Amino acid sequence: MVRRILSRLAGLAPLLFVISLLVFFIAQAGPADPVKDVLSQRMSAEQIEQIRAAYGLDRPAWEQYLTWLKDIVTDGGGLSFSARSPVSGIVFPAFVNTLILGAAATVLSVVLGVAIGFVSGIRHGRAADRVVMLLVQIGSNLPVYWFGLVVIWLTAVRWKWLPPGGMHDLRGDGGFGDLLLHLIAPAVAASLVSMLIIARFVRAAVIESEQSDYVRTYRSQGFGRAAILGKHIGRNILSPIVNTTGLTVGSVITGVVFVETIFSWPGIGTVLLNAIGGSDYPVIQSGILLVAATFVVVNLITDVLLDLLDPRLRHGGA
Amino acid sequence: MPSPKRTMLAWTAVVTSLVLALAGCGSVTGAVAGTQPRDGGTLIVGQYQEVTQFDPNRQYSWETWRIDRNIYETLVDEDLSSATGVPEIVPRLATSWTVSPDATTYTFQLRQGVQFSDGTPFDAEAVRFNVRRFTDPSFEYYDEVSAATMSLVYGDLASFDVVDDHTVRYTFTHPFLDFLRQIPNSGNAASGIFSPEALKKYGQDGLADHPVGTGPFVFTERVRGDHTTLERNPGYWGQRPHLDKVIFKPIGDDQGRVAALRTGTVDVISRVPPDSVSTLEEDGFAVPENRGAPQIIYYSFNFGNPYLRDQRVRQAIIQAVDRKQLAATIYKGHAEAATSIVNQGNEAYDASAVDYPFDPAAAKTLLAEAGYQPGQVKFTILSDTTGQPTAEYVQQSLTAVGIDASVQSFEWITYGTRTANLQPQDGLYLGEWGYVAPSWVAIAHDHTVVEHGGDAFSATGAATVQAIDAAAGNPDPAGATRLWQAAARAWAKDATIFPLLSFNRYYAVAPRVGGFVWPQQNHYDLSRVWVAD
Repeated sequence: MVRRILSRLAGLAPLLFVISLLVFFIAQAGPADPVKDVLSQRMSAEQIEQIRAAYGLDRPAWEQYLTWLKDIVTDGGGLSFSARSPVSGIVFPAFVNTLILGAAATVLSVVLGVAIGFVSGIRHGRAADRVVMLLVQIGSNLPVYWFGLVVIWLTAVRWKWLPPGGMHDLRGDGGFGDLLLHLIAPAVAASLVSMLIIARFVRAAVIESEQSDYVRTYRSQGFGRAAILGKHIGRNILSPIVNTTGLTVGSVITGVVFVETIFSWPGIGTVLLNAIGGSDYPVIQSGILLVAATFVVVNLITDVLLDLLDPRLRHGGA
Repeated sequence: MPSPKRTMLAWTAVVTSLVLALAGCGSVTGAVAGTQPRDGGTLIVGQYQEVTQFDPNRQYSWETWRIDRNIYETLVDEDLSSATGVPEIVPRLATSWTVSPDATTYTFQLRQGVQFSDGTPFDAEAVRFNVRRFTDPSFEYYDEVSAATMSLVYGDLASFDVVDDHTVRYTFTHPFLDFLRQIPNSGNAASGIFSPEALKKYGQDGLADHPVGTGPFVFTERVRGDHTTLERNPGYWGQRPHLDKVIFKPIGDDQGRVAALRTGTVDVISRVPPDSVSTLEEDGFAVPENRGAPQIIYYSFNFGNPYLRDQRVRQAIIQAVDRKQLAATIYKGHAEAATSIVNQGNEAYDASAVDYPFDPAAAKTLLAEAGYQPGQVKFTILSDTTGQPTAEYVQQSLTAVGIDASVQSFEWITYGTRTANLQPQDGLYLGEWGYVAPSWVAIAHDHTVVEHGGDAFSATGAATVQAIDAAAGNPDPAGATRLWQAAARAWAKDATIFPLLSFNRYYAVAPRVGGFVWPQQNHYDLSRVWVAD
């Protein structure tokens, strides 16, 4: 088991290397000229060249890539073009904020998604199932952006239960309770899509298991439905749930970028959006690399969990 | 006799609307700030963009200057206490000044006994340090980024002299009547004076995160993407500001910003969406109207597009669009049609100036003269997302005269990148700028036409350049307005710029805020603003 995890970890290195190449050169290939964007129009060609040299933009691309890689490893990504301050100081705090929101949204989507799917699955074909599935159908077609605005309008403006955005109350002391309060609405908005995916998946898995041979066998032997559901079906659908969750974390992270904009959540999405506007390569590259790395790590964790949950995978692959 | 069911329904409707009305009333509960100014308290401002950097020489946005001007002061300032009229130039870090008759030399007497908030003295040497940073390549602290940005104002500075400890002199290579107006007037190229010691201590790149000036407020912290906090400067040389603290929070989403104002998360917002003006007013928020704010939305022509190299096609485009109707419908009357690039609020503004009047029939004739069949002229209109309805309106107007335009819109920040890299199929692209100073005509002409080689595609282009040079080189204040208006008229003939409109609503203010004035300028003075308990 440990060896499997280690070999997977070793596999990460080349993957991250390829990602870093892609991230760097795709950003470089973009049409934007950072010097042209940032500065005013009355510049001499000499001034432009001086600035290019100061940013290191006059060197060949591969050299810029190596410098960037070195910067990433030693101090987290060099200097931001537009802020002229270390990239790490811009990207990491924002990334932590995104992780907070992403984690909350993931927990919400798993807990609610499994609950909805399970209830719907065991009430398969009944009124409750139909109503829930109708809502799920509507919900999965809602644009995240629009849904977020509706959540703000209802919870903040109309009912005044929750703050309309931000991470802290700027007038208050900004304690943990304050953070939780600010987290509810954006987390609900960010979790919607993946919650419904998980719900549909769990429902299908429950229905399938209930109709499978082994359940029929248990039933014929006189086991109660509750026992079968809890002990056997629950255990059997656990792997698919973990698998789907791992996959939907990706959609949570991309959704979070929109949600951050609407709820003015100071996360990586906001930072990236601003950096793209300023053609701030170092920030864009480090930010995307970080998001990509998160994706890879989440996948790794999912794989390991699946190994733990499913003996067939563990033995088949070793 | 209505059926019981009907009655029930009616009742439900009544109760529901009552509940909704009550819920609506909740948003007006903030205390009214009353008429008496009060010292103390915190004001929170919701801005529509993330700010750039708190380095006056490197910053480049209005929202940034709205913060920076509280930290850094300029030699002269404008009196922003009145909502109407061109703001008067008033002393700030200079107590008086003289201008040479040929308007090339400006001598300032500096205010004595002023200290930067780090305790170091403000004097002629400090000003010299500031000016050398962006003009003197031999200076140890020369900064090419600052030099490039500041060249908008200081590009033609011939020399800078320290006359004595408290007197400095700027000499330009040509008459520069608008210098005093440009000193406090800033989105980029801000002339705010920073502490030389702070720059030495934190470095060229460090000043932005450790801004030190002489202003009424001092910088406390910036959390990127979240907020910036300023606190009252206890050692300020001038009148005590009412507020103890000001927090600026970027909220990029229009509806999110309005929601933050309604719920009291912020007290003031900028760039209020036109759709929200009347509902905010009904709910007790102040949305001041200003028909003199020096701001203008315009379309530039892409001269890389073959159709738009023809003056007749450009004129047809301008004549195809009813700008008055655009302001009335799309902006619900909260904007004014602009028919000259000289923006409202500019010292040379002339409300009667019209480049080309709305006349779709004339537009069709022009296109035919240019040899184009209906539907033959095709291009894309580039816009930011807030300008999308405007772009669609223009698109429809163009369709009516036989021009096939499509619309592409982007978030404001990606929009900037896109338009810095125009493609041949691009036709029109949106711009937002404007100044009080009439030399704006020259700045706009350089930026939208000359830099893109556009003056070559107009029969009258040479005359325009001449007229602009005449205005820019004029040393006589009495003749300035007339010359700039003549330059703008000459330019309008070229049809190389397409002015659209100016906003007359921009800020929305909560009832708990007092003393907020939207002056004839693109920023506001926070030192006279107060908040209720």
